[in-house]
Amino acid sequence: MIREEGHIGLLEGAVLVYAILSAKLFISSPGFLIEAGGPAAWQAALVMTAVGLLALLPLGALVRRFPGQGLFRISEEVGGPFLGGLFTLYVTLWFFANAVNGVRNFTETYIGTVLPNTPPSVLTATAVACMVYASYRGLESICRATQVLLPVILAGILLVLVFSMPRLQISRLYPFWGHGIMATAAGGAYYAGMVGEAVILLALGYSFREVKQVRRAGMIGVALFGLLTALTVAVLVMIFGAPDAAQQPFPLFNLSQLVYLGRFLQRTEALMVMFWFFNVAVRLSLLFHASVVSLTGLLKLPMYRPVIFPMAVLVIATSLLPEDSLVVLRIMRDWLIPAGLGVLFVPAALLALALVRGKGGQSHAT
Amino acid sequence: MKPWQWLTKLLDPAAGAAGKQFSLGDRGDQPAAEDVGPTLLADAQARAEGILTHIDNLLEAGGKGKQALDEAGDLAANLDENVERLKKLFRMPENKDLIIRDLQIATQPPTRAVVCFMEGLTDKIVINDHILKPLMLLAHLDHHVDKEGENGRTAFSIDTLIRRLLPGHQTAEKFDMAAIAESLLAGDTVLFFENEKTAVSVETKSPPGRSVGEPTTEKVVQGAKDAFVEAWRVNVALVRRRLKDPRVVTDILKVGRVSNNYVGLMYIDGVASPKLVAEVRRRIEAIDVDVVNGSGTLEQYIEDAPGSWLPGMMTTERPDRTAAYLSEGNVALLVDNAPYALIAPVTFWTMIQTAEDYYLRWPFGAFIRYMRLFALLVTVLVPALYIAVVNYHHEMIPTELMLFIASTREHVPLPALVELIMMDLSFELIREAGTRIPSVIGSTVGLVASLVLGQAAVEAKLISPLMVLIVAVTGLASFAIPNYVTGFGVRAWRFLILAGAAVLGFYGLAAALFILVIYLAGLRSFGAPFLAPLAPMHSMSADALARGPLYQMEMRPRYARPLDQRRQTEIVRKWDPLAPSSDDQAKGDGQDEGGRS
Repeated sequence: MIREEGHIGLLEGAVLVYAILSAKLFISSPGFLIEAGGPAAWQAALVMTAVGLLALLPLGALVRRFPGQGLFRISEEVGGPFLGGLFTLYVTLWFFANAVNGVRNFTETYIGTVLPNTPPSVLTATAVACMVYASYRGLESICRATQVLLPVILAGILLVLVFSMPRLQISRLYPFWGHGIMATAAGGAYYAGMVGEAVILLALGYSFREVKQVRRAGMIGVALFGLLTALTVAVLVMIFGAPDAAQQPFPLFNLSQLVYLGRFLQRTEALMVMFWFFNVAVRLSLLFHASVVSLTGLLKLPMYRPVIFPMAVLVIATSLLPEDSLVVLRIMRDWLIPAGLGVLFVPAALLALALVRGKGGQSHAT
Repeated sequence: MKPWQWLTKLLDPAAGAAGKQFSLGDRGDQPAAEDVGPTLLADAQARAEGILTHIDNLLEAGGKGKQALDEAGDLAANLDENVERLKKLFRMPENKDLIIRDLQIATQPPTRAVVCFMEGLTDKIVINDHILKPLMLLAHLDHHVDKEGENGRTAFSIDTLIRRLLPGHQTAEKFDMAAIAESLLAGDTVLFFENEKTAVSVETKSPPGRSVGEPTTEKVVQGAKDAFVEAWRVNVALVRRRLKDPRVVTDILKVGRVSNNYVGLMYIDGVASPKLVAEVRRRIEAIDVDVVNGSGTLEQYIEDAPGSWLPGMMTTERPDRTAAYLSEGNVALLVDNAPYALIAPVTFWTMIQTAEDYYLRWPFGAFIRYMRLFALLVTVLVPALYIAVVNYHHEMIPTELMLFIASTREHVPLPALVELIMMDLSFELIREAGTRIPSVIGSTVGLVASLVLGQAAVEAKLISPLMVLIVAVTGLASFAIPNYVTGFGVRAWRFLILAGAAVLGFYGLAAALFILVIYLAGLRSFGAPFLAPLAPMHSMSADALARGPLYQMEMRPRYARPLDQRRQTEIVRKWDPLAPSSDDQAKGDGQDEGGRS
């Protein structure tokens, strides 16, 4: 049964949200923000975080009205079988598309960086095997594994940023307001779709021990991600300059190539890529698991495990559809991030609908 | 044998053929029904006799109240009949272990009785001095036993016999044959009496056993030197000696239909979670198997994931560790015939702790614990990192070092991975052989084998010198993992991660590690998450990965969900002028309570 996946608490929830978001820092996402904000990309990152946090505020009120329930049950209760089903389908498809895009992006990143001669199918199969196994073991295992791996995940980013400090040129952060306050704010708000994955808390909210922890977990996770994103884009701008940094397909990887830890350990990018693998694997596992669980609910199946393998085949097949890595990036920038903005506001929409139709709360308790 | 006879036998195809050789059934001979039938029939007859007698006794006791009904067993009033049933039950006369001694109790007139005990399991001196002598020589001195009944005949009272004539420290009345057999097999002596439907068992256990010795696998420099032995009662005493608290409970369970092995379930009432105790008891009672002959076997029947590469319970031969875990709210199982205690629940981190950690001053205890964690990482990662760097990520190390590695491998025809696997397997072989060889020469053989093999392999240019270094360091690190079974598991992981690194470099290494962590994160030991207190994150009381000062370990570990979480007051070193005063502590406690309320 889905409910038998175990329970997660505040810290696990926050780590879950942070981990699912932070993997984006290793691919082109910082480049999008730098493109939008120029030298003031860090401000765009903060705006993105603020919008994300605002959009998550209704999440707490929503799950309190429907304690112990996930997206599919809440949607169905609030919107009825048709409209509720559409909400669930939208979020599920978005998670699934992100998982597919993530797998392909992940493969392209590794081929483009440390494993250029490896067949893409091997990398894809390995990534999918990891996420299938993680999903099979359940949400509790993924969350706990993420907690264990968190120091490595954080080290993968912070070490690169810290070791890059000798190359920082603060003057590159000027002009301070970048392309202008309005342009930065608009860009940051547009890219708030990058934190759409935080809605995973709604999809998997039934696993929380205490309902009131859902919103706090989301807030902590998104805030941490926002701060690290702001720091990362600021460092990237200070080292490469905004125009160059915006063009880099793997900005953090390029940054790690510049790290020199003395004569014995000359180039650490392979080691860093290993650290990043953990983050990416956690992200893919969570996205895949959320889509599997939501689809299970949508189809009203009693158990999610039989859905895993067909979904895995679908992920592999669809991840092979884009022609090249540029198409993958374009799909993410032009489709998934804007759609993520919509996903981010699903809790608000469901809450509004629940209030209008008088669903949940006391009526639900009885 | 004459030559032609030998030749004839050799050439005769029928001489050594199947027909003349003994076979248990693999050549088509099935066990004859007539061999099985009588045994089953005899068993059924004996059971039927017992049931019929039991029914008669129940009918007789029908109007005499509850106690009479409880005491209505399957024994007959006829002494010979009871003894005959016992003989059938114990397969006499083929079985020579059961000793049956006919005697007359020295009452006036004498009362006929039979003494039964198992040879080898009992203490003969106790039987002679505390059972036979009083009954055969001293019974006539006791007027209470030999009093006149109303009808003028001697009234023989078992109750008085137990109270005045059997000075054994444990006696019990037995009413049915199954309980009598159980007592006999445990080493007790059982007495049957003429015209009595009740037998009496006297505690005379003296099973063969060795005296308490030193630990063999959990040695410490500072700390107690005693270790468990095969007698579980002795082991319970060793633990109780350290926990002088009436709340310490030892429940006795039995496992195995044939082995009927005793299992002592120890816990501290009020500290251990009742849910945990009930679950351990439930699992043991649910075992339906013929033989459970030790802690290792029992563990496999009751642990959460018996297929796991890591143990779900901790095995220890140290009474002090067992007592320490009991005091933290864990449960200990002491299995008869096993010189080990099983501790439940456990976490991964308990597997890399030792008793020594606590006997040393805390900075050193913490240091050796960190060293063990480092050893764990070395064991698991170093071979895989080497293969990943050599095969995929040359750019990571300086060119000079890379060229040196290449030059040492120049004459080696094998790929690095094959080299490593060969060396690893050789190391495992030496380790296994060293364990099985008699201890006097075991270490010498291991040392010689590793030195000679390593040197010879390098000189034969089958292995590069660096590879010997890698395998030696890894092997040495694996010995630092204190738990024997965990050591096995960790060495097995090494191969899994090595496979990942060999196929996909750091990518494969990371994938294998990710799967491993996911696997570990999902494991549980008797309801406790295996990676606690790291995941889920609990307050660690400075005793999980690290080892803080003892006086700061105020709380018991949370993973076992102890009923009483606090193990010591906040200020333990009250004599210390630098410690906060008791007033401060009271204020702090008040604030805590206020906060909680």
